[in-house]
Amino acid sequence: MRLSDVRVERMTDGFRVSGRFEREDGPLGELYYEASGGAEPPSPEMGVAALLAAALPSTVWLGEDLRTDEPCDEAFARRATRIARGIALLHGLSPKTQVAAPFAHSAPREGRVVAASFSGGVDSFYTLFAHRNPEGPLPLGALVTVLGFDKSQDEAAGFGDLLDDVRATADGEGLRLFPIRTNFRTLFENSGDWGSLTHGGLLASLGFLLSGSVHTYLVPSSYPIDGLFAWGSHPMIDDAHVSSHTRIVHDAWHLNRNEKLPPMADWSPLLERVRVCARTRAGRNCGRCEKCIRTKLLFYLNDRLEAATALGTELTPEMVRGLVMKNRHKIAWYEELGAIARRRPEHAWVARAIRYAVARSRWRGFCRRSWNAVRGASDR
Amino acid sequence: MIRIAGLSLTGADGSFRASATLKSDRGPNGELWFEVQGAALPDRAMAASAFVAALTPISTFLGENLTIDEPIEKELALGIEAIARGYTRNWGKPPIHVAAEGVRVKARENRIVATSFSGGADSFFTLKTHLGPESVHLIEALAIVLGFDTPLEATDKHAELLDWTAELAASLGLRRFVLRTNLRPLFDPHANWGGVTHIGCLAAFAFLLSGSVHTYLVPSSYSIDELFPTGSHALLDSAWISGPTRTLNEGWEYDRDDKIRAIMDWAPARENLRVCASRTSKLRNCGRCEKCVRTMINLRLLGAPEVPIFPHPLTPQIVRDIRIHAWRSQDRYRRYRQRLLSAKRDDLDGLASAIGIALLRGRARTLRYRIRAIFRG
Repeated sequence: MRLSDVRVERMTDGFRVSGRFEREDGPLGELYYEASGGAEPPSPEMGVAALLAAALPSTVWLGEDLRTDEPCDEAFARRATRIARGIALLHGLSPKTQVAAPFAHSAPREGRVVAASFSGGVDSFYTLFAHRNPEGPLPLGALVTVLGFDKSQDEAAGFGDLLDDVRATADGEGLRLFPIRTNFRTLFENSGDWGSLTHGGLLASLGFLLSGSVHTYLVPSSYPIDGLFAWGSHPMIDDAHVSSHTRIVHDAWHLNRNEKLPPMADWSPLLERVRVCARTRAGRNCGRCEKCIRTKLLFYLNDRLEAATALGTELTPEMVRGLVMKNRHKIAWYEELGAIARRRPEHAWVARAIRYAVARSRWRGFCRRSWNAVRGASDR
Repeated sequence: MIRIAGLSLTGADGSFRASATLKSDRGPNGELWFEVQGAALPDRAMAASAFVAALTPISTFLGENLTIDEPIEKELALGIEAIARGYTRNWGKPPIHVAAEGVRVKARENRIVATSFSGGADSFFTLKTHLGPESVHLIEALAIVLGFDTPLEATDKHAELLDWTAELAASLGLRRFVLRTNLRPLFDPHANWGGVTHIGCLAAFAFLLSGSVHTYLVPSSYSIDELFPTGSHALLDSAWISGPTRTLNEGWEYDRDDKIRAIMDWAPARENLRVCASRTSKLRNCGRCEKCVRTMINLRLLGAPEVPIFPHPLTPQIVRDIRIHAWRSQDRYRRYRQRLLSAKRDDLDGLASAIGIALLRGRARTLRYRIRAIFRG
């Protein structure tokens, strides 16, 4: 894959960074980011670094090299091939991707801040909660939220609702907000799986992209140290994205989601504005999808479901029993929730319902694997 | 609770000793000491931080809270609870509390990158990768540890190690720091060295070297696709961050086979590689322990010429005799299976059948172990 025609342009309230990618067998298209909220543009070589970081997972997945004639930040360019190798090893892909770019270096701006990626979910809220203390190790100065991440471009209306919520949260904490619009997901849709691979590239690229205003970019962890697997955002891969201007920090990998809620269970911004839904594209929680129910369970077990107005209060044994967990990582989450439920007699119904749902999911998984094996054998 | 008290830091730039008294109900008790040669004297708070680093893994493993009477470096103090939580999660243990006050420490100028260096494949790979001016972390010093892989009283082995690492450092234009500690005899009765305590010791070295070193590389033992709860975990190894100095796990993008492939065309590694896991052998590499034999098999499969680091050539009998502990490491078992296939592919029939027999024995041993475990309850 080749990157060319990189542009960093200042806009009214932010900037635009774009570059054109070509695959070995033909053009892929233009990748762009539009940042607002008064974000300062990155230096040209950091703009190139952002675009290369974005394309890295897809390039590894495609088994291609990643090249550009545009000067790239030296610290990142020197590391990029090894990051590609790490991605390949993690995902069981061939570690042959080489990244080649001329080196460049410039001095970072003064007065930059720590920023965190913020989707409005439990992980994002925890990172905000943990780093809002100005005396802490990484005191937050800004939140970053992305259009083109959880949502597709044609759902800009729903994004408005989300943006209002995020802005209210940022304002409440006295933080700046940098909204970013990108066509990343559309452009790389056929170049690797979004969840398990490519979204990590987007998160890392945002840190570099905002290097004019941000020196440390926090990526809230999805999975803890004992539950890591080949997932797009991985603490070792994220933290390996080091540049002369910005570093990426995968935050709170020492905790799982069930442990993140209790310390902030009484925090009103979370209760009023948490947004986890994977189904509804209108900026609110549907309350019925697997992710909504899982989050409701978490709030319920911490006695905060009634207060969590953003989630809706309906939670029945039937909803829990009907859950389908599609992989062992989700099963592990629910098993931990089940263990929490067993601690109190009044939560026994949750433990029973989870046990049923886990058993059913395991059985379905077994049937699916068996069927695939039989079908594979008959095909052979 | 484990309590660190009576910190003592004596000596000057070039040679110093740090010691403290450990008091605990279920953990180590007595004086823990570190002796360092060749490095500048660290700030007292950094020396205190070193003791916290050394004690955190074992405290989390034993489920004991940790406290220290002295202030530690502020950034570490702010992050230590999260690090300890990472360890407890890694081992599936309940959280512990670490009580330590933080103070700011001003870093000295002109400090360098050092790497922990045992002479093994991981160490040589890290060294080779970060030697030239083109490297990401330009290594300028080796940190040699006595009392780590070898017993403290093995003075003849230490002398040999010091001799050849001095030659190596001189030939590559590197500085050398020598560290001695009694951590193993003190900690070994309470927790497994490889599985629990040794990374805390490396982090302690990093902080003790903070007068001379800003980044301390820890060569990775495992690649990103084979991480499991053990003493050296890439995430935990890189979590030890203080204002002046940080640790960095290096080389997790490569598995061991790749590393050996990468270093065997490099004369310093070919002539000095030391992979032996035997603490009793008087040789640099015994050529018979599982780790030696595994490396010899790798070299044979890579088509590397016989190297002088092993006392004898690889024979099928030696391979058949190795003990593969399948229940301890599924991954290692899987890699032996890959080697078996590679040997078959390369028409190394004698080697292939020997690996096959070793694997069968490994399985039988696993079965025996599991049956025993059932009867023992």
